[in-house]
Amino acid sequence: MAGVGFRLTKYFTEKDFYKNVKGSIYSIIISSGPWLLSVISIAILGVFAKRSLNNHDLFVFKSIISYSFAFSLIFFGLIELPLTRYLADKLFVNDMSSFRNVYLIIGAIFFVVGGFLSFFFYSFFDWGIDLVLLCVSLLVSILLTWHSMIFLSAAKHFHQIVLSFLVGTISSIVFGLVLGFYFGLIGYVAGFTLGQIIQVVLLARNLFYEFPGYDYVVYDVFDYFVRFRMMVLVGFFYYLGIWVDKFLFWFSDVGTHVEGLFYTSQNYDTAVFLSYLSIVPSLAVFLVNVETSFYIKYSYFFRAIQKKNDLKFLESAGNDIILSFQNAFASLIRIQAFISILLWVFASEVIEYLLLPQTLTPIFRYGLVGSFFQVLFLVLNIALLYFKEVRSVFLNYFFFFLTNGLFTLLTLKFSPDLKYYGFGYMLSAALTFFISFYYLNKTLKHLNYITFMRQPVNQAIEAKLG
Amino acid sequence: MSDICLFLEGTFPYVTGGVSSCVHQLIENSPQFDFSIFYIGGGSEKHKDYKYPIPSNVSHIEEFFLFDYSVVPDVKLRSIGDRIDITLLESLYRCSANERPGIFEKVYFDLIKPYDLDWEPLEILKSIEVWTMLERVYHEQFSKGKGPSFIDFFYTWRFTHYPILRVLNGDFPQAKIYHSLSTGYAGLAASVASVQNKKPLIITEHGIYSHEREIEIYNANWIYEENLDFRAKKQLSIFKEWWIHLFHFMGEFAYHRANCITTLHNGNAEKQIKYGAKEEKIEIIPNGINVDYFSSLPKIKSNKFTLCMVGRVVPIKDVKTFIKAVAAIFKENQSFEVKIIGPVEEDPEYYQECISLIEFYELNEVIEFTGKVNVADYYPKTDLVVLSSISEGQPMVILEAFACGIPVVATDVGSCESLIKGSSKEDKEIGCAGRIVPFGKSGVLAQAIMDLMNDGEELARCGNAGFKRVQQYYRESDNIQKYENLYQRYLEGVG
Repeated sequence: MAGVGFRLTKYFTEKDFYKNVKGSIYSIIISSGPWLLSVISIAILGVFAKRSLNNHDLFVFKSIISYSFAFSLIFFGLIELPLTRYLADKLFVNDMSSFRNVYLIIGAIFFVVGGFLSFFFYSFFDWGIDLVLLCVSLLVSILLTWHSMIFLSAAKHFHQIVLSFLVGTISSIVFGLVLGFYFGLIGYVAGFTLGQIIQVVLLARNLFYEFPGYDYVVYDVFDYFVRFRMMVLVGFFYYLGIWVDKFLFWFSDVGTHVEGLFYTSQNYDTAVFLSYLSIVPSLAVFLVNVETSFYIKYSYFFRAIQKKNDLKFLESAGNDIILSFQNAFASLIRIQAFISILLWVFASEVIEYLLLPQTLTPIFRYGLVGSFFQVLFLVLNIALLYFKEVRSVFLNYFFFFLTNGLFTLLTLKFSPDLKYYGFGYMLSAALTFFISFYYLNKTLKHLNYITFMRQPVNQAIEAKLG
Repeated sequence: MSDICLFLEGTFPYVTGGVSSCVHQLIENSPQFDFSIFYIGGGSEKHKDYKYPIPSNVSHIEEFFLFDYSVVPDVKLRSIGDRIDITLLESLYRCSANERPGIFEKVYFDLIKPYDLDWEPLEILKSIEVWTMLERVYHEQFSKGKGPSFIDFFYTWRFTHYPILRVLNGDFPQAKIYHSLSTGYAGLAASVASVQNKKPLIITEHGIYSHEREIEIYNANWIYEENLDFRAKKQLSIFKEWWIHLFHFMGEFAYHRANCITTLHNGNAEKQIKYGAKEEKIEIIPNGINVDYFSSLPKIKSNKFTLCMVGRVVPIKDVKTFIKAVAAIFKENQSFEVKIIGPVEEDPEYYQECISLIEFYELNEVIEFTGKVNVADYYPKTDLVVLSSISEGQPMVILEAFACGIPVVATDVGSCESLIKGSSKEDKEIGCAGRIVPFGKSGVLAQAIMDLMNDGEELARCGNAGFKRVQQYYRESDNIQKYENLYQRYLEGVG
C-alpha cells in the first residue's frame, strides 16, 4: 500500500545498526509476515509432531493448514485490491475516519461467508464436530489476518504489529506442542488455531488503537467493488495462479489422497514452498526501496498536474518516475539474482541440510527460478496498478493462471519422473514476467497520454456552461 | 423532407424569450411551409417540458445535447490509424485557438467531407495521434519560458473540441432550406447540414452570439487565469482568449457558409461585419408585433401617473439604476406610482438587493413588483414605459408600448435609439417617441422621465409617434412576410 514504505524509510536513513535491523524486521513482517511465520511454525511443529503423530495424522495436520492458506488467499483475493484502493484513496486525502468501520464490516463478511463455506467444505469429512469447528475457526482467523494486513500497511505502530505476530506465532507453537502432546492431532490443530486467533485479536486491537471509531456507518467502500469490478478478478486470478500448479499436483497421479477432500503432493509442495522463502528479502526491499523512491516521484507527478504546471515540467516529472523505477527495479534484480543464484548453486546442500530427500533438488531449482520471475512480475504489476492499468494486470495474472495450469499439466504428462516437476511453473512465471514488462514499458512510455486521455469526458464543466 | 429546418440553440421550444416567441410566431403564421426543428441544448433541459405549444406544421423535432454525457460511449485508448487526417484536426485547433481566417475554409470542407466515414468523435478525441498532435502544438506554441497550465490546456481543448466534433459528425434532418437562429453551435450545425445536403443556409441573429459569449467569458470565473493578481487586469488568460476565439471562429464559419444573414437592426449588422460577415449578405428584418391586438386594448385613465418597467429582474436590466432614478423623481413629485413587471425568481440575490435599495429610499409605497403577469393587463393603465438595460437587441417591450400608444424612455443600447428616434430618413420624420439616455446614469434617466411626466402634450406627441412608427415598420405580419419571402426566394432557387 502506498506510503507504508515511506514510513519505513526512517529506519534506514542513518547508519544505526539496531535501527536498520528493526527496519528490516518490520519490512519483512509487513510484506510477508503471515505466511512466512506460518511456514516457520509449521516446520517447527512438524519436527516435534513426527514423534507423537503417525504419518497419516501428520499429513492431515499439514493439509488442514495448507488448505486453509490456499482457500483463504483465493477468497481474500476477491476483496484485496478494491479494498486497498479504497484505503489508498482515503489516505491520499488524509481521511481515516471510516477505517474502523470498514474493517469491521468487511471482517464480518469474511467471518460469516468464510465460516459458512469452510463449514460446508469440512462437512464432507468423517470428523467429529469439535475438529470441524476448529478447522473452521482456523480458516476464518487466517482470513481475518490477511484482511488486517491491508489495514496494517496504513498503520504507524510497527513495533506493536511485529509483537502481535511474534506472540501469535509463539502461541501457535507452544499451544500446539502442549495440546498436541496430550490430545494428538486435534490437540495440534487446537493449539495452532488458538495461536492464530490470539494473533488476529492482537492485530485487531492494534487497528482499533490506530484508527479511532466514529458513530456513523459508511458504506462507500462497496462502491469500489462496483467501480473496480475488474480488480476483484485481478486478485482472484493472482492467488488462483499461485495455487493452480499445487492443485494439479494434488489431484494428479503423483498426488496422494489423505482423507476426505484432502489431497497432497508432498515432494512438489515442500520444494516449491521452500523456494518461495527465497523471495522474502526481495519483498521487504521492494516495500522500502521501490515504494518509497517510486511513490515520492509518482505522487509528485500527479500533484504537479494539479498544481497547473506546464507540459515541459510534467514531462520531466514523468521521466523522474521512470528513472526512479528503473533504479529501484535494477537493484531489486541484483539482490534477488544474487540470492537466487546462490541458492541455485547450493541447492543440493540446502536440501541435504534440511534433511530432505535429494530428489527434491531439481524441483527446488525450478522453483527458485520461478520465484525469481514471480517476485519481479509481482513488482511490475504493482507498478501497473499504481497507473490504474487494471486491465493489463488482469491480463497478466490471467495469463499466469492459464499458463501455470497448462504447463504444469504438460510436465505432469510428459515428465518421466519428478526431474522436470516445477518446470511448468518456472516457464509460466518467466513468460508472465515478460508480458508484464511489456505492458509496464508501454504504460511508462505513454504516461502522459494515458494519464490525461483516460480522464472521463464528463467533468463537471457542463454545469458551468449551462 | 421538410421545407425549412430551423436550428435553435437554447431557445424554442424549451426556453422562453424574444427569439423563441419570434420563432413561434413565424411557424404558426406560415402554415404553407413545413418545418422541422433541430434543437441544440446544453443538456440540462433534457426530459423537461416544452414551453410552447408545437404548431401542427412542425413535422419533426430532433434534439442534440452538447454537454450530455449520459450517452458517452466507452472508448478504448488506441490509434485511429489513417481514418482521419490529423493535420486537419491540427488546423481546427489552430483556428479555434488563434482564429486565423483563411485556414478554416480548408478544414471545414476537408473535415466534413469524410463525413460518410464512420467515426466516433470520442475515439478521435482519445487517440494517440491526437495526443501527439497536442503535445507538438503545445510545445511549438509555448516554446519559450514557462507554458500555461497543461491540465487547463488539455481540458480547454477537450471541452472546445468534443462538441465541435460531435456537431461535425451529426446526423441532420433533410430539408430544402437550413435556417439557424444564431451562430455558435447551431450555426455550425446548420452549416454542416447545408454542406452535407447541398442546400441553402440562412443565419438570423437577434443578438450577436459571438459578442454575447465574449462578454460572458470575460466575466466567467470557471476558466482558469494565471497570475490573476497583476497580469489578468491587462490581458485575458490564454484560456479565455481561446474560448472567445472559438466562438468567433464558429461565427465566421456560419457567416461564410450562409447565403443570407439577417438581423434586427443596423447596429447588429455592423457587429456582424466586424466579426467576418460579408456586407452584401446581410438583410435587416426587424421584430414585428401584433399592432391590432395591442392598440385594441382599452385605455384606463387613473388619477396617478403610472410608470412601468417591463423585464426580468436581473442585473442586465439594471433595475437598480431605475430605482435610484425613481428616488430622485420622488423628491420633486410624489403623485405617481411605479410597476416593475417581470419574473423575480431568476436571480433571487439581485432581487433581494433591489428590495433593500427600495427600503433604503423608503419607496415601498411607490414601487411594486408584480412578478410574472400578463403585461396586456397593465399597459392600459400605463403612462410611460422605462427601459434601463445595459444591453438589449431590439426589445419587444418598446414595440408593445408603442402599439399601445405609450412613449418610452430607454437607454442607448441595442436598437433602442432607432426605435425611439427612427432609423431611415422617412422614419425619423415620424418624430421622437420618447427619450434616449446613457445607461447607468440615474440622474439623467430621472430628468428624462420628469420631462415627459410634466409635459402632457409632449407625452401625447411621443405616444402618437411611437404608434405610427410601429404601425409602419414593425408589424408582425410584415416581419413574417419578410421571412416568407426569403424562404420563397431560396425554395424557388432550389427549384
